[in-house]
Amino acid sequence: MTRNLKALGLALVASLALSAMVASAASGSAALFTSSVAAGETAKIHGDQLAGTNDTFTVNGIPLTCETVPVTGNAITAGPSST
Amino acid sequence: MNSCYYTFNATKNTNSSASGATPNIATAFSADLHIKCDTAGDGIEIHVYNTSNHIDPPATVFCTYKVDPQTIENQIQLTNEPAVGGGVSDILAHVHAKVATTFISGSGGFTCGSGTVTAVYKGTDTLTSTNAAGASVNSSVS
Repeated sequence: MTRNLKALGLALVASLALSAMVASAASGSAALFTSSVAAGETAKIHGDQLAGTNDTFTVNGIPLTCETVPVTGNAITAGPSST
Repeated sequence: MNSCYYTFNATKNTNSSASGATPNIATAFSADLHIKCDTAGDGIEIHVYNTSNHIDPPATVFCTYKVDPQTIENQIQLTNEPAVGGGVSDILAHVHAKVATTFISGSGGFTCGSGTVTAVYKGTDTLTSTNAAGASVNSSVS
């Protein structure tokens, strides 16, 4: 069974103290974010930089290169489930 | 750990933000990023060191900034990454966003700036999903 999840979470900045990342319902023309998990399960979302690339954060002209961009969170079902 | 967290909303066929780093680009899937903090005054701290490895002594915090609670609208584009070689399908998040960032402290003098400045975050990140058992599962946006 596939559970459809509207929207999701992702995070960016590297090496920062963050709490949980969650998904929420989209407004307007919502995109449908789908994770193939069983009914009743919560999909775990993970993220990191695309292999072979580095994210950058430029602040006040200082270019910072991220070594890692770990992202974790839970997707929260905001839309209907379907098979 | 502080009281800050992210939430995302994704929409279909929304132009990238007119005020963003790459404005007015029509994309299939765009995302809003909401940075929220439960405690007033909290933010996501960024420490800039005078070395590439902050573990190396005598690493000194050159500048400290705080990413303020804010909404970053339509500056993240989502695309599908099909499964390859028996793997699962993933999602790519293409980020090119202006981020309000506030100087807190630092020994970098004028280099660090002052007050709230507009920083630019750019990168491509892979989003994957796992189920309760920890197994990788397909994910896509449509």
